[in-house]
Amino acid sequence: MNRRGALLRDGRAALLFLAPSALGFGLFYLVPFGMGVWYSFTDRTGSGSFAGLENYREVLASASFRQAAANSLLFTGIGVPLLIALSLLLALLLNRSLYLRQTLRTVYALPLVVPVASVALVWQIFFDWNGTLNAWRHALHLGRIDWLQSDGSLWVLLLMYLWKNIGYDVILFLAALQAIPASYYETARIEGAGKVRQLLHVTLVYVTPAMVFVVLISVVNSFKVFREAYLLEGDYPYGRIYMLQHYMNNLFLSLDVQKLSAAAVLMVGSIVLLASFLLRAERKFRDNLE
Amino acid sequence: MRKTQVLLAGSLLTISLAACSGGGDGGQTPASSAPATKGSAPSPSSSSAVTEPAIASPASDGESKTIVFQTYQYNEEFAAAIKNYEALHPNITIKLNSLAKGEEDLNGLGLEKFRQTTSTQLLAGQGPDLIDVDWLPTDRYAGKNILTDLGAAMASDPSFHKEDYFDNIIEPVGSEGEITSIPMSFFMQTLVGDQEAIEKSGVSFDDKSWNWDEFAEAGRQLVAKGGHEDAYVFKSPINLLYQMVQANLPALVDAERKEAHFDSDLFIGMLNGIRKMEEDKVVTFDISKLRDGDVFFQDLTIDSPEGYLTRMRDIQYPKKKLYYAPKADGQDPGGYFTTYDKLAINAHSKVQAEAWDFLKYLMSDPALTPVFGLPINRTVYEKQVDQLLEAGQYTVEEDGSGRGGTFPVTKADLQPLDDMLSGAAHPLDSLPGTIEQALFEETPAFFSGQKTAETVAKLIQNKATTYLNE
Repeated sequence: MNRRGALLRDGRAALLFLAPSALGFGLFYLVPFGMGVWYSFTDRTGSGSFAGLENYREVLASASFRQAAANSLLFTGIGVPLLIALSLLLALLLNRSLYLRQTLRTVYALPLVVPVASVALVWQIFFDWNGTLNAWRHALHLGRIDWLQSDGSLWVLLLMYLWKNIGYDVILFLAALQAIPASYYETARIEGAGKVRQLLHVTLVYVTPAMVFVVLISVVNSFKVFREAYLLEGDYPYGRIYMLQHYMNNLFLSLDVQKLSAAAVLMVGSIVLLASFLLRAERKFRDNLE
Repeated sequence: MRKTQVLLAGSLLTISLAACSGGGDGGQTPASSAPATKGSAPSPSSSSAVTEPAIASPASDGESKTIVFQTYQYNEEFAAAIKNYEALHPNITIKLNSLAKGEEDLNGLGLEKFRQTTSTQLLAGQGPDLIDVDWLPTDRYAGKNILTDLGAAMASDPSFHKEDYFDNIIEPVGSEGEITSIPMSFFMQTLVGDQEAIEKSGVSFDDKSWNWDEFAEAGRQLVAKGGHEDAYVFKSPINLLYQMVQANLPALVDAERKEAHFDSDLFIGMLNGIRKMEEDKVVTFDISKLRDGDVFFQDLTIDSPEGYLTRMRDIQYPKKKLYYAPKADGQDPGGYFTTYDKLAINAHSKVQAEAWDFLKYLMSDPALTPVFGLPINRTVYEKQVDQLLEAGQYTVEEDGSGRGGTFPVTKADLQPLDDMLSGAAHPLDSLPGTIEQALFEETPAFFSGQKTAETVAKLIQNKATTYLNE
């Protein structure tokens, strides 16, 4: 009872502290999104009337939307597991005493602070049809490859995504790894657990709560890869890297606000579903642990 | 259905009657306009939206109305016409929205704003009543009931005489048989040939129906016979391709069914055809040949009878003749044209009948001659020709090249132009911006020999499909 009252008091204080941020969030995210949801059910912007699910039907009937959704899904489906695996591996390596450890940690975090626009330019010069990579291939008498205008463009984009996000994930994993008490490992060793067993049953288990967070952030960041794609190839890139945001961005430019809103609601819905699934899994896991 | 049609006709009669009482532009005065006032006045808004144009709304005489007329740039002719029209119809006010008079939109911000605001308003079911859609992405308005079908208005308006206009220019505009806009003027795209050299070579061809293959074959034969080194000159391979695509737009882009056909043999054939023609010296991209007249054929854009005479004079062949430009396989015979100042009426306008009446006035007033291009109105064109013939001469301004002066003109000089105008059949429509961009970005790699036609065609097809299916 007593504990509950304290929580309530805490809650009030928390609300007070949250208010400024909540106000901004409400004004600039929640309210516009609410309006967007309303628009997605109307037939015209402004004085439109209720049109039911017409916009959703149109969006789902659009082959470009389906392609964009498939691309985004594919990108997230490949990119996130790859990113998690690589960054966990790096974090494990960096967690030991390693030559140049501090420098390496800094190096991995560097891509975080480099502006996307300037990086995209470098990547463009590198991967363009008349770019550096093709110049090298040409010098080696290998045929040129149109990296950005073929199905391979997805891998170019994945590379950019990994490069950009791996540092952040490594930092998060490092923090989680260092929070695991050394005594757990000692106990495991005394009980006769080998390296692999320690990794699977101590490290991975105790890193899981952080992992859920990292996965969530990585998923959200995988949707943000539109920035890179847009800077590389403009609003109509090769079909394979045409993402959901390309679709929405182009609809916005042609002022089709209703269809745009419907697409946005569908995307937000999917992300919310995914996020709540992950969070629920984490809670269950934590309950089991206790 | 029938009843509404009668009502429509009746209401349009009333409008024309109102027009007559105001200024009296001659013509017929219909005896009865009874159906319009008979019985219940059905609102033309929602129930009849599918089959009937909303222009059926009855015009109310005497009540003052405002028509908002939106164009991109200021147009002297339109401003003058508005003045005249308002004098004839005291109850109508026309508000012309555009860039200011003489304002130049060097950085394109004015165009951007015009596009943004007008498109936003149109899509929201608001906005100007009469719109110059030349610079608007009309391909995205298809199937959204944004622009009124003017074809129905023309067909049902007894005071509108189709034969007074170049209806071969109006007809093909718009998809699915709808006419969503009417151009105020147009330009003819033709070829001029070195008649003497062609006749001397003895090569025969039928330019009225020739396709690019036949043109290339004739070109090869002409070059083989000698006289000129190349058969045809054009700005650049990409520009030639662009014009071919324009001429075949319906076969390459189907906006209604959201299909692109750039991976078709037609488009790949265009790419390879241009290269082959250059190899065979059928076409050259060396512009100096144009200056020297060292080709059998060159392009000619006709914007007015006088412009036609002047440009023909500039071409340095001893004898010259107009030819039709080559067409795609299976395309009907006839010439190409581009349109200018296409006007459309907002489907959600509350003064559609009035806007149509004003549009009709813009099209028909013999005092109005367009600043650019040939008038859509045949009688206006004929008046231009008559004036030229009456004077018996035309003047070319001296520009320092020694080509200026006054030259005689006879009816025979203008006959080929007359024939060419009647033969106009195919519009050179502008491509949707995205597809145009893809075309200009992807094809240089083909023309420089870095990629195959199939690869380039596939890339353009990929982007065009994405664009069309959004």
